[in-house]
Amino acid sequence: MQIYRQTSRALDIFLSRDERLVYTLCREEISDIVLAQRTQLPLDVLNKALSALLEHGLIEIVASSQSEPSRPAEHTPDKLVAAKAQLAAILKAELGEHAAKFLPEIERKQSLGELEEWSRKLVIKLKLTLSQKAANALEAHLRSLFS
Amino acid sequence: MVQALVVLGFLLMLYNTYTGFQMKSKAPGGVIGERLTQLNLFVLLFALGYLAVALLTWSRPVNTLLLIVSLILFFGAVFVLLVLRLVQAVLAALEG
Repeated sequence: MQIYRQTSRALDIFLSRDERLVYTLCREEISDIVLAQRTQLPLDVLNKALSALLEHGLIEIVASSQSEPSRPAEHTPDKLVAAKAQLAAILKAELGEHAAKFLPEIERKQSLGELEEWSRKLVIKLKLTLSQKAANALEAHLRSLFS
Repeated sequence: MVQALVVLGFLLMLYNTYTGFQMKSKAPGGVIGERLTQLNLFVLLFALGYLAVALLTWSRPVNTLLLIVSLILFFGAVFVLLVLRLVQAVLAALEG
């Protein structure tokens, strides 16, 4: 976990919508977890916005729970593969044979953010069309999987 | 006029029954699936009701009360059709 804050540097560049949102929230010290909750952005999008803002010197890291600065991009492929495997296992456990039609879709996802977004939509779809119980169980697993 | 409205309503309800049961395969469970089961049973029951009304009023002389009832039955069938179309649209959006 890292805590960010705006620097005193003047905002003299054009920011994207996501970057502007993150920059505004960083007016006071704020952790990446709270940022993710408040912005509701996929993790990779949030990380990209934070990296860009750090690069421009508009925000700074106030505190970090890791000894070295984290570089999530390096671990993303491993995390993605692990998350895909876990998600597939969860779906098989909760849905049984119905899980088969979702597995190819999981494999097609290119990033953690994309996988997370798809999973959230899947929860709604399951809740409405397949099984509320399975949807609730999946939702609980997703919280730990993407936290 | 009255008989025509009731028969049209009955035919519409038959179509609604068919559509409803066809939609059930797309939503076997969940909130929509469960409600669709109940909805389909009621649609079927009402379709039989339309048939009963049509048979019972077939040779009766037309009066205002009968005309109002037949209009209510016909637009009731249209209402069910619209509800099913809405569910169909939700299912299509979830598929996409």
